[in-house]
Amino acid sequence: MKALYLTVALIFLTVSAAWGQSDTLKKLANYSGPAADYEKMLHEGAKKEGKVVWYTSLGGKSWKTIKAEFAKKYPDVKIEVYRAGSKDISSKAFAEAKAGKHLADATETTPGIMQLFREAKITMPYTSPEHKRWPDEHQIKAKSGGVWWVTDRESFIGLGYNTKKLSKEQAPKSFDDLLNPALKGKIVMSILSTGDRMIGTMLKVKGREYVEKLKAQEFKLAKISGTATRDLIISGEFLASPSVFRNHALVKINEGAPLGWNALDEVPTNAGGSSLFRNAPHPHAALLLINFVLNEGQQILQKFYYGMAWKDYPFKRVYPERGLSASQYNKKLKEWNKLLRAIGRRG
Amino acid sequence: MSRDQAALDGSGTATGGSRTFLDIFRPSRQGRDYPLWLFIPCALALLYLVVPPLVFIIYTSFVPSMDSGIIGLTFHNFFNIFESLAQFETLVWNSLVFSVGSAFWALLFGTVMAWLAERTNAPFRMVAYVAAFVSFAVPGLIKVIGWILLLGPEAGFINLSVKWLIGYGPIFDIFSMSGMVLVEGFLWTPIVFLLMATPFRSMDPSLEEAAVVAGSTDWQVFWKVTFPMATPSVLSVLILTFIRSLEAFEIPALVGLPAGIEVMTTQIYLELSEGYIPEYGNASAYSVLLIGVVGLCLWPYYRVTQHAHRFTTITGKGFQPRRKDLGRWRWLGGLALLGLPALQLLPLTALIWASFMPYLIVPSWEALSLFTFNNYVEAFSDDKILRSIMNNLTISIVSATACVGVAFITAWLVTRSAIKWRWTLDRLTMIPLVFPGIVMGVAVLQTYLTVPIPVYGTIWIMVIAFSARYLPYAMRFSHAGLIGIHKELEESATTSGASWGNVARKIMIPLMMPALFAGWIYIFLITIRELSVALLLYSPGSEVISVVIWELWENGAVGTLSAFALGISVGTVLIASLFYKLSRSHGLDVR
Repeated sequence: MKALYLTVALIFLTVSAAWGQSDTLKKLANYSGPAADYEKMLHEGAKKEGKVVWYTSLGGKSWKTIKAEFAKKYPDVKIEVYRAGSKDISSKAFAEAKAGKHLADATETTPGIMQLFREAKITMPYTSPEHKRWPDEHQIKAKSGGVWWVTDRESFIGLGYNTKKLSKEQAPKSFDDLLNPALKGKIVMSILSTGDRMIGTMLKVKGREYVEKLKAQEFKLAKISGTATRDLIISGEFLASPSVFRNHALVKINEGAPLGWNALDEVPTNAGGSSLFRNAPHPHAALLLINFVLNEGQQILQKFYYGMAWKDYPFKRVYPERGLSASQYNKKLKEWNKLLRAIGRRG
Repeated sequence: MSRDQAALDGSGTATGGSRTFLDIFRPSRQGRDYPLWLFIPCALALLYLVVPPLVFIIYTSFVPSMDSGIIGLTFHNFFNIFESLAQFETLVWNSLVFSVGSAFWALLFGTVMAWLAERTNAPFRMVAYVAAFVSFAVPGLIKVIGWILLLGPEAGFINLSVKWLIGYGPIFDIFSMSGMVLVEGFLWTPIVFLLMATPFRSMDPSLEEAAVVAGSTDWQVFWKVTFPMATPSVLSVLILTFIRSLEAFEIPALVGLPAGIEVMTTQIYLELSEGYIPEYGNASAYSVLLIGVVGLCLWPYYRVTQHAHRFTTITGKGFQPRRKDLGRWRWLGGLALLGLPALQLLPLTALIWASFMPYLIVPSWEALSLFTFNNYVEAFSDDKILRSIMNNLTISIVSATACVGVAFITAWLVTRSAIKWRWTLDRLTMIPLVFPGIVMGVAVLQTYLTVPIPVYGTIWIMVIAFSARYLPYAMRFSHAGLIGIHKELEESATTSGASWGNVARKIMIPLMMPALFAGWIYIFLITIRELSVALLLYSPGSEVISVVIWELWENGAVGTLSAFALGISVGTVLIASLFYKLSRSHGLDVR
C-alpha cells in the first residue's frame, strides 16, 4: 500500500514532468554527433539562453571555483548557483516540481537524491561525448539509452580532529575509539545527510547497541555542512567530528591548519554525479555546464582533493544507498536522522 | 434619507427598506460616509493575506505522509506526535523553559535599565537610548553568531580570555539551556527597555511623593507604589516577550541544537529535513499545535492590555517624574546603563575579528599574522550576496508600504466608520499574530505550492508572507495614531463638504504621518532581520540577507559571513538614522 501511494505520487510527477519537457532538450539529450561540434553547439545555444541555474551540494570552495572558471570560459552565460545540502536540494526540487515551477537546469550532488530524482522523473538521461572517458561501472545508464549520471567524484566521510588538542595517537581510529570517555561532550556531528550516512554505516558495522551507547558521549549536533564542521574543529571549539570529509580536511591540512583526518572502520562515500533536469529552462546551458564539470571541472575537483571512483584508497569505502530503492533509502535516511537526533538530545 | 443611506445608495448596493446581503455592511446612524467599495477591497485583501495560509496549514496537518500508506485525510500526523509522548513533553517543556527564562531575564535587565534611565540621575541615559534604537537595525541572527564566537565553551573569546586570566574555564557554555536563555534575553533587553521606559517616564509622581510624606522608605515606595503602577506594563511586556521567545527560531537552531535541546520551532524545521522528501504533514501538525499555544498565550495578553486604563499613568496634569538621586551609586547606575550598548557591541567585536581572519581562529599574536581583507573582497564581489541586498530592499519596501497602506485604511474603517461588520477587519488583521515565523513559512509555502498563483520562486512570495505576518504590527501603529486624532476634525471637514478622499489626503494622512512612518520603518527593519519565513520560501535568485547569512554559517564561511554581516549592520544603522533624520526634518517625531 505504501509503495502504491509513493508510486502514484511519482507517476503524477512523471506525467506532469513529461508535459513540460521541451523538444530542444530531448534532441540535445540524445546528441550523437561528432564530439568536436558538441561544445560549440551548446555554447551557441547557451549564449541565446543567457544563463544556467545549477543546484549543487559540492562543499568548500570547489563549487565556487567551478562557477568562477565556467564564468571565465563562457562570459556570455551567467551561472546562478544554489549551493545547499543534498536534503535541501531535494526539498527544493520536489517543491518546484509540485508547483510546476522549473528553475533548475543541472545538478551535481549525491547519488541518494539523484536516484530519487530519477524515479520521480525530475531528471532525465542524456548523452555526452565526455562519457566515453568513464569506465562503464561508473556510468548509471538508462534502459532507453543515455546515462542518468556518471560518478564524477567521490567524497569520503571520516573523523576530523584538532591536532593541537588531540595527538595522532589519541585521535580515534575506529568506531570503538569514539566511546573513549575523554571525548565526552567534545565531539560534534552534522545532522545533514553526512551525519545520517555515518550513523547508517555505524549501524551496519557495529549494530544498534553500539550506536545507542554513543548517547553517553553527549555528541553535540549542528545543522551545518561538512566544511563548517571542519572549521569548528580547527577553531578548537570541538575536539573531533566523525562527519568531516577527507577532501575538505586535506585542503586545510595543506594550508597548515591544526587538523588531522582518520578513516574509521568503514568510510561512507558520496559518489557524486551530474544530472540534467527534465524541464531545464536553459537546456543548452545545462548541458554546457555538465560538460564543463565532466571536463575542466574534474581538474578543479582533484585540486580540492576529491576522490575518484576508480582509484584505490587505504580504507574500506561503503555506499549506504546501494542496493536500496529510492523510497527505501529515503526511509532509511529518516530512521538514521531520528537516531542521530536521539543520540544528541539531552534529557 | 440619511446621509449614510445616501452613501450606500450612491454605490448602488442598498436601496429603500428591503434587506439585502449587503445590508450587513450598512452603517449605523452615528456613522459617516465611507464608501462600501473601500470596505470590500480591504476585506478581500485581508482575506487573501490571512485566510489561505491558515486553511492550508490546518488542511496539510491532516494529509498523511507518503510512506504512511494512508489515503485521504487523517489524524495520523497528530497521532505520530502523541505516540512519542515523552518526546513531545520534552519539546513543550524545553519551549516553555526557554520562553519563560528569556522573558524574565529580558524583563529584569530591561526594566532595571529603564528605571535607571527614567527615574534616577544615572548618567549615559542617552547612550542607552541610542543603543536600544540601534539594536532594531542589527539583525538578530548576526548577534547570535557573535555571541557564539564569544561564549563557545572551548574557543569562545570570553571563555578563553577568562581562562587565560584565572586559569580556569570555560566559565560559561553557550550550548546549553542557560546559554539559549541568556542570548535570547540579551536580544530582547533593548526592546523591553524601550517599552518599560514609557510608563516610568509617564508616572504621576504625586502618589510616590505622598508615600514619602507618609514616611515610607525608598523600598516601600517602589514596592507599594511604583511597581503596582507599572504592573500592567510589566505583565504585557512579560507576555509579549514570552510569546516572541516561543516563536523564536535562530537561537534554538544555532545554540539549542548543538546543546541537544529541541523546541517546537526547530522541530517543525527538522521535520522538513529528516529525509529527502519533506514531510509537510508532520511539520503542519506541529505548526497547528504551536498556533494553538501562541493563541492561548495571546488571550491573557489581551486581557491585561484591555484593562490597562485602570492603571492610567498619563493624566491631563502636567508633571515631571521624580528622579531619585543615587548619590555615590550614580556612576554604578551609569555603568549599568552602558551595559545596553555593550550588549550590542560585544557580539559585533567578535565578528570584526573573524572578518579579518582566513578561518575561525581565536585571537592571538600568532593569529594576527594571518590578517586579511579577503573576506571583505569575497563578500562584496559575490553577485549572490549583492543580489540579496537588492532583493531585501525591494521586499522590505514593498511589504512595509503594503502593510501600512492596508492597515491605515483598515484602522480608519474600524475606528471611524459605522459599518456593522467593521470588527471583522480588526479580527482578520490580528490572525497572523498566532503564526510564528516558521509556521508562516510552512503555511505560505503550502499555499503557493497548491494554488495556481505563480509567485513561488520569486521574491513576491516573501512580500505576501511578510505582509501577512507584520500586518498586526502595522495595524497597531495605525490604530494608535488614529485614536489620538479627535473625530471633530473629520466631522468639520465633512460638514464643509469635503469628500472622504479629501479628508484622508488633507487631514488624516498628514496628522497620522508620524505613526504611519514609525510603523513603516519598524516593518522595513524587521523584514530585513526576518529569517524563519524567508528560509522556507526563497529560491535561487530570490535570496535575502538573512538567508545568505544562514547559508554562509551552514557552509562554514564565517569570515565572509562576518564581513558581510558587519557591512549589513552598518548599512541598516545608516538607513535607520537616515529615516530618523528625514522624519525629524519634516517635523515628524516617530519615537
